[in-house]
Amino acid sequence: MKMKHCVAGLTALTAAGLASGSIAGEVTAERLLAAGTEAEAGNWLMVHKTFDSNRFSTLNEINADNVSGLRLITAATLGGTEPAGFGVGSMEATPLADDGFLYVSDPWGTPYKFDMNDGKSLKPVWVCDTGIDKDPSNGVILANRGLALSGNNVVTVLNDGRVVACDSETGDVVWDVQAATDQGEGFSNSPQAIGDKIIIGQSFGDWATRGWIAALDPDNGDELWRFYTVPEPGQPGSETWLCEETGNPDCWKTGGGAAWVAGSFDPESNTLFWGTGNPVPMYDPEYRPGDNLYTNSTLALDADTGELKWHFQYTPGDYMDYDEVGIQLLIDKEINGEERKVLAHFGRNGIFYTLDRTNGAYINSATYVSNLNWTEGIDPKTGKPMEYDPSASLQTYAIGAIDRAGATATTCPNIQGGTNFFPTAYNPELGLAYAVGIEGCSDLSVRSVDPDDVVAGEIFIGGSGVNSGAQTGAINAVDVATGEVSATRPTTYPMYSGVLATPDLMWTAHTDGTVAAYDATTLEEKWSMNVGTSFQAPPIAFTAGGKEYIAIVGGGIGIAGMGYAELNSIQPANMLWVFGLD
Amino acid sequence: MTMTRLVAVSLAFLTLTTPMALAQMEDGLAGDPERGKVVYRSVGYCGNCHGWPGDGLTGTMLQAPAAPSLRESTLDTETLFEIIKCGLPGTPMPYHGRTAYRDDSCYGMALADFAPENKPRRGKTFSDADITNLVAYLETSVMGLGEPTFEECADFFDNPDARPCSRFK
Repeated sequence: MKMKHCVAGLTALTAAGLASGSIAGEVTAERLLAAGTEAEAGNWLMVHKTFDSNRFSTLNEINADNVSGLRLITAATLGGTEPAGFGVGSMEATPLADDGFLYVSDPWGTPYKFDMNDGKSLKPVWVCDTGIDKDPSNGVILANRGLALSGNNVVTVLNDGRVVACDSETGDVVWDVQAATDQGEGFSNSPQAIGDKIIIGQSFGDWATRGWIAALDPDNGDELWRFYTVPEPGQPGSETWLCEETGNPDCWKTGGGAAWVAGSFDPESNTLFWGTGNPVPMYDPEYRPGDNLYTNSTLALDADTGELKWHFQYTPGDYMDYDEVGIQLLIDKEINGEERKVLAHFGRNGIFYTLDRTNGAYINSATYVSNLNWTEGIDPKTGKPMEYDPSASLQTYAIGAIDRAGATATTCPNIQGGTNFFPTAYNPELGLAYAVGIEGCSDLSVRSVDPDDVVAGEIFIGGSGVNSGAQTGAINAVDVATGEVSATRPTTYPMYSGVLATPDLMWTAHTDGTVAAYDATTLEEKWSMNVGTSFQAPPIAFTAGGKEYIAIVGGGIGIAGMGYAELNSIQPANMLWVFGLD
Repeated sequence: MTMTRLVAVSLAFLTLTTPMALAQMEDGLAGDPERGKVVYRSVGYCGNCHGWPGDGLTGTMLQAPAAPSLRESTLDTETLFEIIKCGLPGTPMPYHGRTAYRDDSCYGMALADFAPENKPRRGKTFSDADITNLVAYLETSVMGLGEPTFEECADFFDNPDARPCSRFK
């Protein structure tokens, strides 16, 4: 279905005056477009809640006045604790909710459906058997960030490169395609259903592959278009890969730029906005001189063709692992007296950016981490780091270069951010954007690798980036209109989970097992409870039987221990938790 | 032992006299390389840092620099036993001994003797017998070997189709 038909459908839907507060059944293009409306307020139909990725729920039955009475209602166990080569995977998925049913995935991408309609328990409905080979020698970081509801299917992406659609009623496999076919390719993110297409992103750039974003036919998984985030020689952007200088003209083939978090979609302009990952190898720019487009970028793609409309690269020629796959918040907001169509993004590089999403023009930025040293600031005209030299094949940021001759550097924020894949959110009623993340620094060094020793499917980082001193965390709120951090709440441990916004609360969860709600403006804690699983996924709000609940998945600590013995002792036990009022 | 000397040990891999360790080995705990391979692979997950072949290149640990190559190591039996048991304080190499830093077998020191930044990291816990088995594996199947081979990879994972073996095909 073309988008214009979707819009027409939405109009008809609205005209029909559905006032039940909850509609269910087939997840049509119309329903996805209406995901932010009152009719769908009790549902959470896509990973980022709405196409604008705001993760804002209008549900207000649980609010700042009564959240102190929130309690654990029920929980369910999930599988997927089998290790791969990097150990047991983390639970990073956002649950989906439709008519009191919850859909979640484990680190191996296996989909589960639960029935919460009795308001007391999570009754298992089905587990979709994707046939994934849980090979412990597979050297990937296990993760799956959620599912997509598409028609009568529940779609998952797998680390073996397959995309699988399961029947939403029975859990039976409907179709199963090998979407990623080159060695080392696969998925750790979530698919994005936009009605007439399912958008997927190749996730394993750091495993010596080349990133891409593709659209699949939701009826059978056939590929409709593909956009490579690293251009091949002769294509626009290829001039930013100076591979010939290295004696390895093929350096772009392992250039990364992975698309490992689902993006946003603007139906009005029929544009997809996806973030891209770092250039590969992340710490050895001498392997891949140049700005390395389209790594570390926001890409605006035509949803029907995959053609690039514009791009904005945040950290050109990166050597600090500041990839920018994180959430692309689509916001309509008055800034400096002008109504703007904004794309806002909490950069992994510690800076909050606003762009004009119609053309990618830079609007404003603000540093949101407490310690940032890699740049002296952002050029107010271009949005590029002050040190950026477009004529240089190797960039040198404020911390100095790192190189094969032995130069090292310490960069702040930590190579993992700032924020990262941890979903951000936006409260349109307050005009505040939220992020959780890490406060700290990393020590960087280079270790060159011979191109002959680079193998697709094996991690390829070209050096090391290790924690420099203690790492803590923070919750931040940014006023999008002013571009200023309006509230900050330091946290004991680095934050990995992400954010849910409700009208007067901001919800998140901590790696030590604490789920919490904070005042949406001041970030004062209003409620918290520790349930013991580590949290690296964000909560959602949904209704079952007409009552509001909060759901979140938790599990083991994975790679998020950050040197804390008490965190590293948290064992993998994958769980789905549901909280509510009596 | 002073921290100065300990650091010297960590950096230079000097051979130390370790009476308890030597005594256990001299008591006739003959190492079993096959069991040692299991300890290396799936008890201690040593390959996370050292790489499955101990080459110091193919590890999967992102929170620490690549660990030294064990294939190129010239450490003697006693020193291997000691480092596995006690770790290398001040480095990412963790200790694995059941009594490490609880008796005086690790440099005569207790955990409380270390400054926080030099405190030894705790790894998986091995029996002394398994440390001996692991040393036997390293000495017979890792140290002194050249480039890893497909046959070695298939044997290590007990699976010729293991992902890391694909680079040899």
